[in-house]
Amino acid sequence: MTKHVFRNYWFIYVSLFVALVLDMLPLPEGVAWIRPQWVLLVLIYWMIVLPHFVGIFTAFSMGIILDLVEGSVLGEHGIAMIIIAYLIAKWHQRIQTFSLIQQSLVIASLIFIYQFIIFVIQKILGLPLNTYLYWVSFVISAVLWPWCFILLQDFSRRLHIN
Amino acid sequence: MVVDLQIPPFHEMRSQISVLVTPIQYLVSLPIDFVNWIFTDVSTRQQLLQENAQLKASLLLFQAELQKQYAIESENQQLRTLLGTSQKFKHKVSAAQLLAVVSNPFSREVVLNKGSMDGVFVGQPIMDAWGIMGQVVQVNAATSRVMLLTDARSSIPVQVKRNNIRAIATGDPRFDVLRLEHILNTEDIQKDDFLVTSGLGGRYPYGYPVGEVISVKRDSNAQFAEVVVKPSAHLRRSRLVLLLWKQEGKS
Repeated sequence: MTKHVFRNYWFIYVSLFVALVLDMLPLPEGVAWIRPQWVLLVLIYWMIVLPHFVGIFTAFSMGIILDLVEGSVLGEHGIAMIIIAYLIAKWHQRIQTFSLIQQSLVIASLIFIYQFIIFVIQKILGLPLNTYLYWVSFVISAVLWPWCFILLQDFSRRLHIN
Repeated sequence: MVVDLQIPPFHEMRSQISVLVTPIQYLVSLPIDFVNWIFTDVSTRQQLLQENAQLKASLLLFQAELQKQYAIESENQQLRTLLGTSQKFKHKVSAAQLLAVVSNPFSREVVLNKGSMDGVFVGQPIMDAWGIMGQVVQVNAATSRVMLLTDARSSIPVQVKRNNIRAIATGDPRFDVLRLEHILNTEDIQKDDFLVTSGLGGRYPYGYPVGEVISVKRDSNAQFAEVVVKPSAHLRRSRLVLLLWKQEGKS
């Protein structure tokens, strides 16, 4: 066990950082709504694979960073992330055994919950939605999940993170 | 969240924590700036010469216009002194650039590359070459966040250039337009009317272009007319913007 203490955990943070950058990259007007929830996707991957290492605290920190970056009310993404992190912490063993397609469906519903929480908070703050395209994002995220999963799995195998 | 919304000192703290994400914002903006830089650098000498000639011509034109403005301004000044009022403020401007990062899809906000270190303050008006763009809503050390006119929370006091009717223009992010509030059906506002800031409320300076009326719908059953205004600033395209500072002028 002591031999494996120094595993390449830095990669987790690198991947989260890349996801954050992808989240912030400007896209043309029409395409902007299709942007998947990169940070949440990567975060969900690590929460499923390394539940003892990436958990509610990491999720909350990423949420706060997202809030700072997007200029939304501080804690808005934080609280949504925490709820998702809780759900995954509760069910990660079950999700681990699912096939990729089944996982995609679970991820879709998780990201839907996440988007719904943010939607409700924005509604309370009096900043209603401009377009229904907002809801496309969780479908796209779910479609991208298998690729995201395979890519991250490949990296973690190479770097011996597990 | 409640703390962030309700307690003002917390905003100070927030802008301090925001310093953490500033490098990320600059980093994301970098590749896009780089591409722009390549485009400007790889232009040929011929193009540059041509552009230079064009710019010189337009500069000449503007200077001629400006001379006319000087005459008008001094005449205006004399008339004002006759009337016993004085124009209080002049404005200092400074250029800033937008960072190529997106923000919350719910709001219409952009990020500037200047912050409190450059003297930017909350509530400061921002404009581009064509008109008012919005106002600063959050200031960090090296960046600041600007709420555009089309944000749902944004309102700006305006007046019609043709007949000085005053109104309030509120943002409508769904269609990227502004709407005039509480305009009676009988009021004289027409399509193609030009709106400028009225300076009331003291946040935006007087007389800068805001937009153009693109449609007026008068329904005799409704209490107010529905007036839609297209902002004259290029909210989506401008990358270079101007920050305005009020200055007690001697004039």
